[in-house]
Amino acid sequence: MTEPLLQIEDLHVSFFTPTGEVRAINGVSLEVYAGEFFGLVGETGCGKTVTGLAVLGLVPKPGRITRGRILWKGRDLLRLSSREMRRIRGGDIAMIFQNPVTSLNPVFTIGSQLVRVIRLHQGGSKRQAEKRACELLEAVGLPEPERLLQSYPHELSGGMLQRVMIAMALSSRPSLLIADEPTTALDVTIQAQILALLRDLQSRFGVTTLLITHDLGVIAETCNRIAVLYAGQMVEVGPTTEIFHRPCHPYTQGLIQAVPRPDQDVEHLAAIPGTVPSNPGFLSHCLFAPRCSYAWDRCWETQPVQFPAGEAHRVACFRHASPEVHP
Amino acid sequence: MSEQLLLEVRGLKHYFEQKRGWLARHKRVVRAVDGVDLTMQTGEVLGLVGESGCGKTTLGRCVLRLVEPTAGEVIFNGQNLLTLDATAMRRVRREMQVVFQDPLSSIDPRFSVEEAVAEPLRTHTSLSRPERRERVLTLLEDVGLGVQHLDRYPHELSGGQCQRVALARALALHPRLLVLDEPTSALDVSVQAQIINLLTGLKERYRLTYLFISHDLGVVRYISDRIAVMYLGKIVEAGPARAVFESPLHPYTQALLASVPVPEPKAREWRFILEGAVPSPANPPPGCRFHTRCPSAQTTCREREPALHPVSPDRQVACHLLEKE
Repeated sequence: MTEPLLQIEDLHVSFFTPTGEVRAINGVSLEVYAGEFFGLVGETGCGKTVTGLAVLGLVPKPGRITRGRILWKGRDLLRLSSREMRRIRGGDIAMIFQNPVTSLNPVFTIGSQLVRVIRLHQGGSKRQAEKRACELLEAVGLPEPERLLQSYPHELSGGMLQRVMIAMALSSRPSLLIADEPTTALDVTIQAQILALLRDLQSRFGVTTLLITHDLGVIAETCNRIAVLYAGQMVEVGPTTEIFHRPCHPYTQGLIQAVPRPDQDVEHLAAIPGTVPSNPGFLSHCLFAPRCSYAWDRCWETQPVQFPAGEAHRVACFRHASPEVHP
Repeated sequence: MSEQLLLEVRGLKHYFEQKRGWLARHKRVVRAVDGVDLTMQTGEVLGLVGESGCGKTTLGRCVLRLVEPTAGEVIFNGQNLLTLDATAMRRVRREMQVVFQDPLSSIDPRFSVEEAVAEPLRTHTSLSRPERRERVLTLLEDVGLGVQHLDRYPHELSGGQCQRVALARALALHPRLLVLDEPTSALDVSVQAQIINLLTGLKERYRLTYLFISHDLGVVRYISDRIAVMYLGKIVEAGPARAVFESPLHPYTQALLASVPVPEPKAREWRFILEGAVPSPANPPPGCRFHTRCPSAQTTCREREPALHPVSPDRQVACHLLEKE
């Protein structure tokens, strides 16, 4: 078994607000291996974005990592100095966000912003950096890169800007690209282009990608392996085909059934009753129990750990607890 | 479903001026909706789909006369709305209501749920206060809320609950037509499914007709009887939902459907990806508006604009390649 590139162990993140502590992430553990296209899926507030930010040491105030380790190529990122962290962030680990318009500075040209990032991480002359910038823009499928370098962000469409962001993220030849809802702000035809680009980068340049999204369709189309988050906990992890064809956690099952399918007729749309608990970190029972039709005594007593449900497939549900552990 | 015409839109156009440049000296005309014909039968759900900027929202607002169309006719229940004066329009408004995408911004934050739902009753009916309260309660129950929500304020509600309140308010006057503009786009999938099921139930109960505007093709397929696909201010294809989804005729519809990610990992392999982006509606390409991105565009497509023409009794498409001589 190879070493994971990124390993998150028992991550807990809390936000200390004036009205009290809000526990956003309550024990997320996952591994991302080199060359993978890994997906993190869940609904609003499940902690998927905060998990991505935690890896980069960017948890916004008043949030704080309260427990856990994040191992990057074997080193604990939480123990690094802010200077060492800065070298990794945007260097070895790059991130792109949902809205490319707000990620770029509107008063500088694409070229100046791209060149600055390239020189920051790799040094070199302005001329060399410009040449590299052109190569990168070409690699992400943008025509006429020289002209593009002179353009300002408002002159480009959303899809083009997201390509620029991807080029910028790739400029330092990162080992890991974290893409947080990279296509949510885009139209479907443009989304298809960007997803094809991300898939292409992974297969051509071996860019390991951690894709964060709420869209099960996007996940199914791109990822090899996925983790499903619910209320700040990971409820299921496994190969994409396994999870979609044999979902084991009641939440995953509910989520898949709740999506209206564009490719087939559905008789009845199965909604998940109820809502997500508002501050789940203080609960001691299975967080999904209040909405789960299978919930029994045990689910209300303690929280399930991850049980094996198949090859490389784990699920946090007592229905999959092996009989030896739970008679 | 009764075959009774409820709404007919003829040659509807909505242009607006955009001022740009230094001191807004450069004007350009954006053709948001550019000649749309549409019919809706009583009791049907018409799904209006298209990408951002295609004019679907503007079309919805023109139908309600929330924005004034530049040209064309909107015939609702036999009356041309565009010729009505303010008083007559106000009366018609009771019969046509709208629900928007973001429920939090469409409900006054200073109104409690009760006040929000009672507002249309207060302005349009002469019900007494206790009668209004009773009606509000029935409406809340119909949308899956209850007495405990009467005194809540929008910020105390979840997105799904807010959308239920918006629905209750829209239903207060028993309208015949409901324009739903991306009603579930701001919601998570599990909540979205609840709201969609609610909409399906309410339609039967209140005998409603829906104009359902959305960019989410999965949702549209599930809820709609008929579909109209828009591209750059024009309808390019219309027909029964199932037929359009299973055998799309217009190249744009085909590309749009192929672009939607499907929650099924096996579907990944085949893929037709449309190149380029949607041109600006201020300067649409000549001829067929889709020809700049169309994989099978021919010379005629660049020169002449195709009209929406019937290809079978219930399907229309605007494409030269599908015109029979």
